[in-house]
Amino acid sequence: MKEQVLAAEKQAKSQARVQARRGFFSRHDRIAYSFLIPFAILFIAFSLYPFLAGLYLSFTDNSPLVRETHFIGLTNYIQILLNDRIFVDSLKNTFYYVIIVVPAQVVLGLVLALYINKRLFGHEISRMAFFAPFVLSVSVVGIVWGWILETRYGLLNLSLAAIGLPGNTPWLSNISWVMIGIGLSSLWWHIGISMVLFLAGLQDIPAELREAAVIDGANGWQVLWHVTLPLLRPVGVLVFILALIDAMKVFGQPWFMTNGGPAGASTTVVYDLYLNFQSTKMGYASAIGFLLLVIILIIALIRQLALKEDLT
Amino acid sequence: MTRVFGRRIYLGDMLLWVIGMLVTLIWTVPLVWMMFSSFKPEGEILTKTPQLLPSQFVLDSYLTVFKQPVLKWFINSTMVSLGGTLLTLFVSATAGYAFARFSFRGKNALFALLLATLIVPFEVTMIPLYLLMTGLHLTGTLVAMILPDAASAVGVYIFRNFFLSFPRELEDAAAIDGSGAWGTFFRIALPLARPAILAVAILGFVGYWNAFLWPLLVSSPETTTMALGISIFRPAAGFTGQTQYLGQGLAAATLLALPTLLIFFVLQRYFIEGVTTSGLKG
Repeated sequence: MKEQVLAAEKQAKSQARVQARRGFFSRHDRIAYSFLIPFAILFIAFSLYPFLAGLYLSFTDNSPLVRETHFIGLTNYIQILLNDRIFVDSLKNTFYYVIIVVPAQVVLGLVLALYINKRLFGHEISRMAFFAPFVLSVSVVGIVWGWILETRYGLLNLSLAAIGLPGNTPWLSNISWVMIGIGLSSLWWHIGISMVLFLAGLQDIPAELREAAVIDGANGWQVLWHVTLPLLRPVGVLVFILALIDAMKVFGQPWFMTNGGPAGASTTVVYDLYLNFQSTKMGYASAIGFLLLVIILIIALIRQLALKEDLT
Repeated sequence: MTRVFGRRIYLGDMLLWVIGMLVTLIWTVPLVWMMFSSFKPEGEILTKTPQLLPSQFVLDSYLTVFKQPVLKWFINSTMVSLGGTLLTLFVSATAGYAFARFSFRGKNALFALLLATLIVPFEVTMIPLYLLMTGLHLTGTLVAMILPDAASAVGVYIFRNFFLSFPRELEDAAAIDGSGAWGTFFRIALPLARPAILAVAILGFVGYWNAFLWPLLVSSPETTTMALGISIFRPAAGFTGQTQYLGQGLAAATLLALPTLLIFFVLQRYFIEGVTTSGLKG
């Protein structure tokens, strides 16, 4: 017994010596790093460096048109939050858009997933049809929906009129309607991702749970309300957060369909960031970007809290 | 309950099915309208009564749209997407393999850092990226459009998970036979990673093909891609009431949409698995 322990200790010591000879990084480490290097070079140069550089930039008055760049501390942030009407309006517009799109995307995504999961005749075709728009570029969505939402000749208003509903809604040319019009196009575009995430969640629910509820005498609605939906909550939180972050970054649709108008009503945060970039206010635009990141981090934090609540 | 073709059908399910099919049909209308309208004669696209089918199929819109440099945009998009996909595959397969098969100093910290960057939107880093590309004299090149998106955390994640779930006996056998780590990777591990390669390639290609914001910042007229180029037909471009660009715009949009739609229809399972994985991770 004692001999065995001694032998093991001796072996460990000799191993430590070998390790020491190899230096801080062992040969094994070096092989691993050789596999990591191609990724690391691109990652450091085009993700990590721009992130840190952008953070620094947001504390400067950098503009390529001006020769010198000064460190100006929090001036950009203070200016944006207190004195920039256009930014504050763009933030309001973006939140308004979020309120319109995000709940609809979660609820409709859930409903479609529940429908597909019933596996009625042709459900594969339905799944394909609901998901297909997700693979399109925002350019396709912007061009097609820009014309569909046209007030006088657009397909939507003509179709509404054809079935006897009011067909003269100025979807894109009225300040109260424009975000609803853009929201419709976004819903059509991104409902597929909500649906497939909910479907993945539904497939993770063991069939026995629902069967047990049925044996205990629950009807279809009771199973849905008391078994399926509570178990889908974590996926629901995820879908909600993803849709929220996605909506906070909206830019392409207004750029294609409305130029941020009418009267700036569809100028969003990223749109404002882009306009500042165009007038080469790089430091200022970077600060807007980091404010957006702060909002997104807060959203992510809310998700963590919501999931923690599930565990307790 | 009623019987159709000898099968029991619930009335509630039948009602649900009718509604489901109706919504499915509505969801396909924008794309169907886009494709059919691109073959309509000018003046037939926006009419007082909604018209889905053209009275006759004509190629007018396609013939006029090719007077714009559409062919060049299409070639640029193809080169950026193929080049970007290959680079993404190479760097994420090697890094994913490293995270799955080796233990090394700083592994967990590096992986955590990688996943943490998923939360940072591209919009935050694009301005310093633009200044970096200017400094490297790369603005206006196709390379500038490829580089920023190639180091994809999602790609690394997909490859790492694949190799973790895959038995390493074959690789061990190759190592005993005297094959080096890189030889084993290229000859044994990578050829077996087909599902992961497909998932990352699809996500990469579609991402590059559809990219709009970064090309808007960094491309030149020579390197304009399809997704950016067709913005000259955007409804917001200030020609409200002038419909002569409408047919051309829809023809160009059809050309832009077809490649990704085809990929989706052919490789649907891999596509949905890929976006589900990246979504669940995000």
